[in-house]
Amino acid sequence: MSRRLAGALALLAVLLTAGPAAAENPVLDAEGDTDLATALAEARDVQGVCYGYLLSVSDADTGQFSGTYASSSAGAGQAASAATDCPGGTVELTARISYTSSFSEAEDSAEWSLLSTVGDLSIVDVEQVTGGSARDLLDDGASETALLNAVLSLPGLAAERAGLPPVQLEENTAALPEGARATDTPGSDWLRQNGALLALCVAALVAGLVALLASRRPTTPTAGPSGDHPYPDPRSQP
Amino acid sequence: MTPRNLKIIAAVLAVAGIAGIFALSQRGGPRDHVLRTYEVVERGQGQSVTLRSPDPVSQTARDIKDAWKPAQEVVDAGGTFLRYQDLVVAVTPRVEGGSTIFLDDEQRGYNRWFPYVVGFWGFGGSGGSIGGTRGGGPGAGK
Repeated sequence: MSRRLAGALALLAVLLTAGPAAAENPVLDAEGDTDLATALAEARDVQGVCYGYLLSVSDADTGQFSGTYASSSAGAGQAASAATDCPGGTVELTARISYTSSFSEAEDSAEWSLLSTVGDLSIVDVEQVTGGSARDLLDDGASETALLNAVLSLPGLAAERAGLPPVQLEENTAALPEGARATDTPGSDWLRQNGALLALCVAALVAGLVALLASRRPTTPTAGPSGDHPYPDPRSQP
Repeated sequence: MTPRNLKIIAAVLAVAGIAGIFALSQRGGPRDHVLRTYEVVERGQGQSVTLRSPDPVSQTARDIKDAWKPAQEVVDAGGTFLRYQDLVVAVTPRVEGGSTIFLDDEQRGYNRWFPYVVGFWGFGGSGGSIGGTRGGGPGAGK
């Protein structure tokens, strides 16, 4: 065995035995988990129900994100289904994300479901309220909002479906931190709502114009390039 | 197809297109829709208005979204926030049933619901946070 081959095999062995440095939640960071747990704890205090999410990630690409992540009214890193102080029941959103290898032709996938002992809540209710879907968990720009909206919709849904007391929001009356401001002001509401119909109307107008021009085109046969009349002159007939 | 038929089709398409554009231009906006649809409870400073809906939060928010698609939406344990162009619509539950709708311009709405929307559609500034704020995570993924 050559020295070069032995070195390559040794490097391969090191790479194969080395695990990921540290699993990293691809959707929510530690601060997001803590904030979520705080909000869910407030809901538990009002309703007596434990809420949370449990996310399993399989990362066949880099392994960086492989792991199981959770946050609930019991705290960040705690699954609602493992919580003990839940006199009103438990509602937990369970999600699974699979990142495929860069060398694989298979696509990444995501799915989620709802485990609930309160009312008859289902993941369909969550999707109707939030407008999100499990596929959003694969979108870097939308995954965080999709997960937060889904989990934070649970106390409201439980209040509506199971007659539990609703969680009341507190309006902020304090001065904002310096520099705090809304960003990325949205574009026209009218165009967002009516853009497709407007395009249809404009298309109808353009089609009408084309039809009008076509109607003005002469349809009677004209003389050919040689100057011969396409129809024989009846006066020239014997 | 005869020229006469083409002219008829042209006229129908043109009338339909112009009528459609005119109808769309009369639709107003999300603020008009909410004010027309729900009972006004209180008019506050500026353009702020508080309204009442007999339906729960999820149904009320869905009805508003169906009528006017928001640019952004944040769902919280205690309500739903819809963001439009210089308009924030907050729908919160009422203990006695139904829901309360708050209409604010962008700045006033951002201030009022800061702890809930800051991580999603705003910059929190440098002076520390007010209460628990949400959003602003890694969004990392493959």
